[in-house]
Amino acid sequence: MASLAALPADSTSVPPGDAALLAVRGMLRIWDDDLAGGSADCAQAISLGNPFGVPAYVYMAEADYRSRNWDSAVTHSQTAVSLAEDTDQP
Amino acid sequence: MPAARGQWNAAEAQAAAADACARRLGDEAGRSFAANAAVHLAFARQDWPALVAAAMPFYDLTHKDGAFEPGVFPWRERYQEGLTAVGRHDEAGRDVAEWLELATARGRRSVLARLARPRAALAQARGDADLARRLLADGVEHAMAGCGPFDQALLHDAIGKLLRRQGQRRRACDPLQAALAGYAQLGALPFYERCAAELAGCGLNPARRATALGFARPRLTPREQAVAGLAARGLTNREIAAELVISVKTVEQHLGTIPRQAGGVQPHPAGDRHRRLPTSHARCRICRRVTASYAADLTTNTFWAP
Repeated sequence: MASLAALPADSTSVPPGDAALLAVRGMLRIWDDDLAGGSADCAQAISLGNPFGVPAYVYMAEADYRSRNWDSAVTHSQTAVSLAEDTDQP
Repeated sequence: MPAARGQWNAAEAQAAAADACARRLGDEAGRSFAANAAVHLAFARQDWPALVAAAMPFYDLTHKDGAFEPGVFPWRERYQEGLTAVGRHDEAGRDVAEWLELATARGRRSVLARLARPRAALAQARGDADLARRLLADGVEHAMAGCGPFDQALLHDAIGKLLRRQGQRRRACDPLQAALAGYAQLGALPFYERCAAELAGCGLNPARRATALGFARPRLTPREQAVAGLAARGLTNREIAAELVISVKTVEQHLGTIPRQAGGVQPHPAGDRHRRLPTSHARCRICRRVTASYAADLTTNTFWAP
């Protein structure tokens, strides 16, 4: 997390060029039990056109699963699988 | 997700797809995801030997940084519970101690919450039920801070089960009902069914709770529902008796009356005379089949409304 300290705390202020870093921060925050913060980072990274869209969807699904949004987790998982298939990322 | 909801075909297909991808890629991250899926499928089934076997690929990894970092793949607490369930207590104890130290150092409350179940199971296996209860209570506190309703429900479930095993049926009801509500909210069907069986064993009617949660009310008593549900899963009378902590004779009595109450036994080789002798139904394959299909129908169409 220390190496990502330069990123703005507010994910909506992160420039498009740092979308991949934002997705990584989201993943780390989810691992560190900050489900809402991590999920917001991942969602914003996707909206910025993050090239790591598949993992971002995967970790949003995990955050959904660990909170209470199981239906949303299914949707995000399916999106991740679909995106992975379409972009040949097994 | 499909496993936790009892959608077994979908869950198996996804676990197999993950395994196939991992083999094709040949990388460790892929193997970790596939093993994680297999562990969760076995956990939803409470198939402990399968769970322990499913976790083995994690120990074959060359680079263990990711899979053995608390919070990254939530497989290890389930694995430790599996080790305890299959009687490998010493191994489970060592694994728990190592994981607990790391999770505490990281301050990962979700992991500390999930760790409460294997730690309590170990304490219980070693005869210290009071310690098990304290560990589970601590787990609930961690879960309130770091987990969602599923992990909280799993902990309430474990507390209720432990209290019931200690003969404290009344005290067991509250945590079991809390667990039941959590499972119902999420649609975690297999967990809901097992919890409802526990609650039935306390003499409480989970159907009342189910009605309050928006599910239709079945016609059977709580104990009959529990027996029918286990029969539908293919358990023998002896296994059902052990699961519900009741006598085999009681199981036979319930299995004898369920088909009549369900209105299920129609053409029967033994005719009306057989139908008037409820206990004979318990050993009758046809009646068991009727009971099982009725229970399955209750589960899929009536009792559990998705």
